[in-house]
This record gives sequence, C-alpha cells and structure tokens, in this order.
Amino acid sequence: MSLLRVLAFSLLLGSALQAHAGDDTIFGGHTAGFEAKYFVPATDAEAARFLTQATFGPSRASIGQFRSNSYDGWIDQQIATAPTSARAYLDMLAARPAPPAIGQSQRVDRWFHTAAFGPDQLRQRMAYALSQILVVSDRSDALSGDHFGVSEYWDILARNAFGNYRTLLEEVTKSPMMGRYLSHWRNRKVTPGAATSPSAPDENYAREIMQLFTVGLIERNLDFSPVLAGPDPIPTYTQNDITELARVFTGWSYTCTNPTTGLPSNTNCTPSAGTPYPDYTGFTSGPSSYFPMACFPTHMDYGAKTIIGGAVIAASPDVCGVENPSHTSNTGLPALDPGQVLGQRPLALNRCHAYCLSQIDQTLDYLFNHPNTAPFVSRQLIQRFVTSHPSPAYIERVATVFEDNGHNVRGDLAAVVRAILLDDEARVPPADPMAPYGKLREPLLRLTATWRAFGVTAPAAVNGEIQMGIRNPQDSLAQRPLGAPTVFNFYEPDYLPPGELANAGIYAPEFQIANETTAMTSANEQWNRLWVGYSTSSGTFTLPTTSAYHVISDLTPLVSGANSTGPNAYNLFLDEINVRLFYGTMSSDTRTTLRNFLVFSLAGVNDNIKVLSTVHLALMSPEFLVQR
Amino acid sequence: MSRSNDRRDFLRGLSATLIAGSAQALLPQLGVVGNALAATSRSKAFGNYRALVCVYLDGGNDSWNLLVPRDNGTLGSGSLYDRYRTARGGVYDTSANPPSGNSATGLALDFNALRPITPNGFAANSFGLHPQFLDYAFPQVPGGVVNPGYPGLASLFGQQRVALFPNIGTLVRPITKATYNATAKPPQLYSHSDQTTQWHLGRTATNHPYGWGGEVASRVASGNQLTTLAPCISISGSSRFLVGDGVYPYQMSTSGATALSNYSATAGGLQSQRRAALDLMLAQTYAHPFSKEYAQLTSRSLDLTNTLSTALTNFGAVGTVYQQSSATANSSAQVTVAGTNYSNTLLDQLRMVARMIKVSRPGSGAGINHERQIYLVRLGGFDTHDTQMANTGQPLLMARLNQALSWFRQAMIDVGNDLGVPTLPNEVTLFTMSEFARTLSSNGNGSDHGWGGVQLALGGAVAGRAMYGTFPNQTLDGPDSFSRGQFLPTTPVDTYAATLARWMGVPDIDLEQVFPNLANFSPDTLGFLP
Repeated sequence: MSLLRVLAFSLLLGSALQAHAGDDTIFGGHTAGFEAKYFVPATDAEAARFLTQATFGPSRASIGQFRSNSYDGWIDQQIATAPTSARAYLDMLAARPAPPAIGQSQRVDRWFHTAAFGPDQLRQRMAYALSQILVVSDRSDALSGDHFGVSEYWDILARNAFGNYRTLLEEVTKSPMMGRYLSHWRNRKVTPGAATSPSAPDENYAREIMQLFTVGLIERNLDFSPVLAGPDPIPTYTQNDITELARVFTGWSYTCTNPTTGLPSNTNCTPSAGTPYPDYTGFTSGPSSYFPMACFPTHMDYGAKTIIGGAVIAASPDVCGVENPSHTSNTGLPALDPGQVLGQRPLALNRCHAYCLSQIDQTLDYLFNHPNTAPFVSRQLIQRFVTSHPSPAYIERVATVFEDNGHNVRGDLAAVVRAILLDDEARVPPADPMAPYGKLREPLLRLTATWRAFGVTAPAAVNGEIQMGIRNPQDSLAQRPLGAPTVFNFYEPDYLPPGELANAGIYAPEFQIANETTAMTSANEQWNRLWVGYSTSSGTFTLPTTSAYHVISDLTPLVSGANSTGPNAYNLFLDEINVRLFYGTMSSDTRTTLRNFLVFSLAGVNDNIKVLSTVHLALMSPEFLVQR
Repeated sequence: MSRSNDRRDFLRGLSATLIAGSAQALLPQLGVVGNALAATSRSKAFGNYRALVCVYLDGGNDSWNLLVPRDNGTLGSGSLYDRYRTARGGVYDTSANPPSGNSATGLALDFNALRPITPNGFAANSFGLHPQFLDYAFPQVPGGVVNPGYPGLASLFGQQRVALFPNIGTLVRPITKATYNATAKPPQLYSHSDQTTQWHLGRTATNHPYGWGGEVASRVASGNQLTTLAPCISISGSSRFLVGDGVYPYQMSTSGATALSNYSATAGGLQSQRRAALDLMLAQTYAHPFSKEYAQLTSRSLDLTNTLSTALTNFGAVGTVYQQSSATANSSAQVTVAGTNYSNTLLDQLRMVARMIKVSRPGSGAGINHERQIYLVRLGGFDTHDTQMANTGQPLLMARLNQALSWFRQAMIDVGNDLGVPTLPNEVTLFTMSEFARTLSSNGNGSDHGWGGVQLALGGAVAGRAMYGTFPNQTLDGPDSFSRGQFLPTTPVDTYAATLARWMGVPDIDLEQVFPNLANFSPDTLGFLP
C-alpha cells in the first residue's frame, strides 16, 4: 500500500472516529470542535514518519507505542511527561564525594543521552527547536565556564516547551546566561555628570530580542508575507527605538538570594551590617548563578522611554539610585528577600524595584502581543519540525493558533506544536516528488535518529557520568546543543542555497552548514558512531566502555542464511532499513543500489559488517538525508 | 581554435544531454558543469594570475581604535586625539576600570601606545595604528628558537604595502547629516545580518542571489583550467559573498580537503566496493531538489578531495614559519597577548589560502592552473558589546589580525620564491570587510553597532602608505556622526569593492552591473590598485 493511500485511509478512519477525538481535551487548546483528521497511524512507516518530525528519531519501541495510541493521544501523553532535567544531572555530579571536575562536556553527554533515551521526546525536540531561536551559546567566553547556567537555560526551554511564549520570553530575558550572552547583565543607566557613567546603555539585547526573538525586521502579515508600503517593506523599528529600549534592560545582575529558599545563596553577596544591600558587582558566577537575574534599582534607568511602535513606558514616580539622597551610594536590592522587614528599606527603593520589574513586563507584553510575533515564531518552529519552506497558508494556520489557542490564550506553545504536527501540510506530503517540501535533516538529528533506529545502548556510567562518546559534535557535525557560533544560530531561517534553490527562492536553512567539508566530516562521524565496538576488518564486537553503541542482533539474522539467498534475498533487512530510516519511502533505485551492494559487494563477509556497511551507505543516501 | 573553446563546445553538448535528462549518471555534479559553462561563455583568458583574499571581521569591528588621529604627535586640549579620547569616554585604564565593574570603561587607547604612521599628504606621525599592530611576535614558548619575525601592519604601512580607508560603509548615494532624512538609505542599518549581506552583495537590496565576489568570479575565471574547482573558495563556511551565476563556492577547512574515510576508491577490497556503491547511489536521479542538491554537493566533494589532497601534499608546502616549533608543523597557530598564548584561527585559515594559491597558480606543477581566484576567511568575536578593552577583547582581536596578515604577506614572498615567481606578492591583494564599525561612545564596558568605519588593504600591488577617503570629525553628534558616534560613511562599499573588481579584470562596462549603486558615486573607483 502506498503511503498516500495509507494516509487517505487514515483520513477516513479519522473522520469516522471524530466523536471520540473531541473528548480528551486537557492541554494545548485541543478544542471540542477540533477535527481529529489524523487519528491512528495506520502503518509502521506512517508512525515512523511522524516520529521523525516529532522526536529525535523513531525507534522500534516508539513506533510500537505510537501505533497503540492516536496522534492526539500521543501528543497529550508527551505533554504530560515531565522534563528530563539537564541541570539536575550536573547537580548530582557536583554532589558526589570529592567530585572530579566537570564542564560543558558532561552537559553535552547529558543532552545526547536525553535525546537518545528520554521519555519526553517531543518536549526535548521543542526545547531544541526553541534553542535555535532563543540562542545562547557555550562557545562564547562568557558562558563556556558555566555548565550549570547553560544546563539551566536548557531546562528553561524544556520546562516551557508546552507553556506560554510570554513566560518563556521572560525567563529567557532574566536568565543570567542570556544576560551574559547578549550583555544586558550588569547593563547600567547613564548618570549624567558621574565619572563612572557609561555614555549609553548596551544595545545588544534590545536589538536581538526584537530582531530574532519576537518581531523581526519588517512588518509581517499573519502568513509571514511582508506588509508593503508601495513596493517596500516596512521596518518594524528604528535605531532610536533600539537606543530607547536599551534603557529598559538596565539594572540586572546575578540574584543575591536563592528565590526557591529565600536564602542568600552566593557567599560573597550576603548582606552584612555595613553593606545592607550587596553591590551590583560584588559577587560573581557561582553555583547559584543560574537563578533568574535580580534588578538593582541603583543602576536601572528610571526615566520615560518610547520603545517600538511609539509605545511609551512612563517614568518611575521616584528618582532612583544615587540621585536620590535616600539611596545609599552603590547599593542595590536583592530580588526576593522574604526575611527582610519592608520598613528597613527606603520606600522609594522598593518602589524603584517594582518599577524595574514593571518596565520589563510592559516591554515583553508589547513584543509578545505585536502582530509579527505569531507568524515570526510559528514559521521558525515549522521549519524546525516539518519543512524549510512552509506555505503561507500553513504559517497562517499555525500563527492563528499562536494568537488564540481556542480558549482566548495567546502564545500557548503546546497548542502551537500540535497545530504544526497535525496540519495537513505536515501529515500529507505533496504529490509532486519535485516539490521543495520537507527539510535537510540536521546533522545532530541524523545522529540521534540513527542511534534510536538501531537500538543504541549507553555503557555503564563511569563514576556516575554518562558516557555517550561524543562531546564536541560541532567539530564534525557543525552543530552543538546550545553551542551555535553566533546568536544567528547554526543557520538562518532565510538561507537560500546557491544555484537552483536560490534561483527559485527556496529557503533551506540547514544547507547553510552543508558543504564539501561537512558532508565528509559528518559522514565520517556517522561511521565512527555506528561502528563503536565493531571491528571494521573482522566485524567482531568488543563491549565499549566510553561510547554509546548499537545492538544489531535483531538485524544480523536478516542478512544471513535463507534471508541472504534467492530472489527475496535481503528483502526483510531492506524493509527494516526502509521503515526505520526512510519511513517507508525508499525509492526502488536506492533499494536496488543497496541490494546490489549486499549481493555483489558484501557476499561472504561477516554479518555485522554487512549490516553496518549497508546502514552507513543508507545514511549517506540523499533520500535519507532529506526529511519529507 | 583554442582549447577553451573546444571545452565550451563540449560542455554545451553535455548541457544539451543533461537537459534531455539522461546524463546524470555520467556527471552528477550538475553545478560544476553549469559553473564551467557560465564562465566559458563570458570572457577570455588573461594569461596571468590574480587573487583576492577577503578577511571578514565578523561582528562589526570597532575600527575607530584601529586608526586613531595623533595630531603630529602633539597632545593638547582641542586636538583631534583629545576629541577622540573624549568621545570614547576617556582612556581605558585596566587598574582603575576593571572590565566588568561598576565603573564605566573608557574605550580610548593611550596616546603613547599608538603606533605612529605618516600617510601620504599628512604631517609626520599624524595618525596612529592599534598598539597590537607591531612586528610579528612569535608566541612565547620558553626556549623556543629566535626568529627575526616579519613586519607588522604599522611597518607595512610605512613600506607602502598597506592602504587605509577611513569611514567606509553601506550607502545608496552620498549622504550627510543635513541630507539624511531626504536621502535614500541602506535598509536595516545597524543589523548584523543585513549589513553583512549588503557588504557581501555590493548592493543595498538584500534579495539578490549573488555576492560581488561571485559576480566578479563569473566574469573573470574563464581561464581557470581545473573547472571542477570553483574560482571562489571559502575556508570559513558558507557565504553569499562568493556565490555567482554558475559559481558555487568550494568550502574547505584549515586542514584542507576532508576525505571520506572507509570509502577509498583506490584502497581496494571493501573500501572500493563501498565507494563504487556510493558513486552509484549519488548518480541516481533524485526528484527532490534538496536530495539533488546534497547529491551534487557530495559528488563535488568526493571529486575534489583526491585532486586537492594530492596537490596540497605534493606541491602545497608553505615553509613560512609561524611559530617557534617546526616550520611546517600543521598545528594551530598561536598569538601572544600580555604574556598569554591564544589560538589564531585567522592565521590557520590564511595558511590554507597560501597553500591553495601555491598549488593553484599556473606553473605550480599541480595541474590546477587557475588564473583568477577569490578567497574568503573570517575572524569572529568583533561584536564587542562587553569587556571590549580587556586583553581577551579588542587587543586579542587586533593581535590576531596583525599577526595573521603579517605572516600572510611573508608567505606570499616565500611562495613566490618557491615557484620562481618573485612578483607573486603583486598578484595577491588582501582586504578587510566588516559589517559596520561601532559607536564611539561607551556603553559602560563596550561599544554598540555603528555604521561607517575603517578598512584596510594589503598587497604588493596596493598603492600603500596612503589613506583613501576622508577621516571624519570625531565629535559625538558632530557634523559626521549621530549622538553615540555612529558615523555617516563618506566612502561607499561600492567604490572600494569596484576597485578590487576592476583589478581582477572585470570590464568597466560591467562594474555597474555588479554594483548597481556605483553610478551614484564619483569617482567610481579609489585608485589604490593599478
């Protein structure tokens, strides 16, 4: 049965069972009126295709689980699955007796382990998608030493993966990792006449939160098409808007108290008799540096600002900082300090602190509610899950859900990801095989998909530490989780590969890191990961201790004995490859190439070598490399 | 009939076959064919070699600390240096102004630390270059060999090898503060991605598919013999700068062309079997444009890997010492700032450029025989919003730039001597680009996005020890800048790039096709190259 016919079948099935689909609405704007067209995956191949879009790759187990569920039921179940925490793992390592030094390597091991084995696959995929929009990178000097902070940043993305984009935006803005990466951490107001005053606040975050995280550069319609004034697009903001907005992002630095316990958590910022409020910079990165930043009103710009679109943030009713005689010079205010009696602080200082929080709220509300934000974010999420070049109608359908999940809630990411995955354009690939639909698989996802398809196993932890065997994937795969070269990610959403695709105006971001060098380094890395433990000359297997390896004993019988002879030789094996890597779409040409390779080139060689050589060749197939 | 015409006819015939759709198995790398076709149908061979090397300073170089006014060495109130120092919020003082402290960091360089230069037409020592622009300093390895070193950028400026361009930026047409509101401006000023694109495209419309490097290459590379190797080569990933009509830039790494392991066509046994199967798979017909694109990319890489690896191994040694250990060591270069060693990826990239030039130039013996090449290398980290003046900030960036360029200039001399072509340094012009300079004023410990800034060109053909263009008035919000010291450019990207394009052999009549805004400026080139 062809895939299209399978889908047509499931369409019929879906409408027949529609009455049931409306009942289980708990999360994500799954409204009673929602037409569950895609109800039950009809074949392993159909299930595998969906799992290729929605997870780090289909595995035999996940295909089975999904097939015993429904599309909506699976998404509900994934939404209900708790996040696998990255930071908790590092905390656990740090709590070992006499712990050996850890760093970003342990964070990366944890990431690969979660991608390969985590039960919260959709959540982690969403976090990975968000990490390519709300970019911070441990490749920067400011973050490279803070594996706790970067892990917590990942957890922010994972925790909010099915939450609200407004909440996420606020947590990201207040994250000391974002603060350090885009330098609004310790950003200070201008104090006229003061020798220590900057000439102007740092504009970095003010610019990028608009250009990359919310509204983008030009006015957009709901389907992402540019709003035109005559022939020209309309810029969303001016340089002056940036300069003004930069004043909003002032006054923030590491928090001084642990917001969970309310206790001072950073040893050198403990309030003491002489300095009731710690200095803005009197404490540095430490184990608690991953908590949300706190506002220090001393350094906060309390004047009125006219930000993007003429929106005005009114001035603070109080003069804040050293200009106010009731504020002691060089003092700040911890974010939350429940042990402290309010009256011990100058009232104005408390009000200044409230103003500081309020101006961030007003700004984020404005950006979140800007009409650009829904299509801008929706389009990039579609690109990460389904297709590089979504139709305007697809973007509009998803952006509409971003604007309202059906319950008057804007920014509901669970509803958004459901809309992305269950859209017709996601579920039914175009009939035209030449249509520029789908996406080049990202190198990291290629690796995780291979792992999951062929039963990856991690060796026993060493001293409590996960051993996945690949800690610097950027060297060979040109990608690293939370490790992009710049805030512009590994690739940009508008990248046009030169040649036919650019001439036709086809966006294909992942091609920005596909070149003559990475085509080879990524294939070599795939080889190294695939063959972990296996001798390339004899095929014998030695149990690895420091790298994840594949157990292929379910496949070797398919390339030996009766399965390797006669007119049906290798058919069962190739069927397995077809489902696990190609979700049933392997072309007859590719099948012939692989079959001839098995029959004529690999005749008589060790079964492990047969399996692994063929799988690696399949991984280099231009059909596998494109997720359709 | 010349060889190149024969080849053109062959390619045209092949192209017809390709259109008929039956020859993909013969030659899967369609892009390469298109590449050669486009090039051969345009112009003729030159009979000589020229190369451009673009050094992209990624993130927006704060070049107002690269070139600083010095007023003939007189430091007085109201001097140009004083104006600079005031606008930058005072001289950076590491003891008084910790880079990330409560107090603001001035961004000015100390007067006495500047490396004085005397551009033609100016009084002696009236400008200074960044303190790190010293003669090549080898990384500090205890007990390392002593090397006389090579002249750094300040010395090379004095030796007429370096030209400086104050206040270049993206422009549609000339603009002043007075005409600012009424004049067409480049879209999305101050945005990294957009300004980068406009610098790369040589035009202010960002929807053009080709960069000016690629546009130049498609007009001048018809004499390049090995057509499977594109005339545009990047050592630093993809960039539209190098893409042209039929020009698909070749991307390689600092260690050369990476081979596909376990698939050697010549190793015999299973390896060759795998390779044969892979070649068959890549030669299949792929309907999906992404699959087709990736198949072409992989084929192109496999084809070139052998050719280039062999060429680089047999003919591509560049002995120019870059560190105190072995001269030919393929290890990463290092640079020393304030006693600490740091990596220098820019030198590593330029080392591969030097090796590629050596094997590509006609007469190298490697059989590549290219006449025109454009290289792209890139150094990141210039987005210095934060801790700009700490040693790991601007000083390190400038040290890397200086050391890498200083080494490269020496390497061109050495390669020329190796090839018996002592004039080789005249055949290679290196130039910088960066999306914008930065605000003159400090944001506390760094600078923000600006507009016009300083660039430099280096090479034997460059008419050096000269400044091309006008150094601006550095008063904040003065006649040439906005309130934070974002400068309105007085020299457009277009005339800078057009000078380089014309030197490469683009006919004058084509310059306005490559740079559509060029007609708005006079003169249309800057005269720093013959």
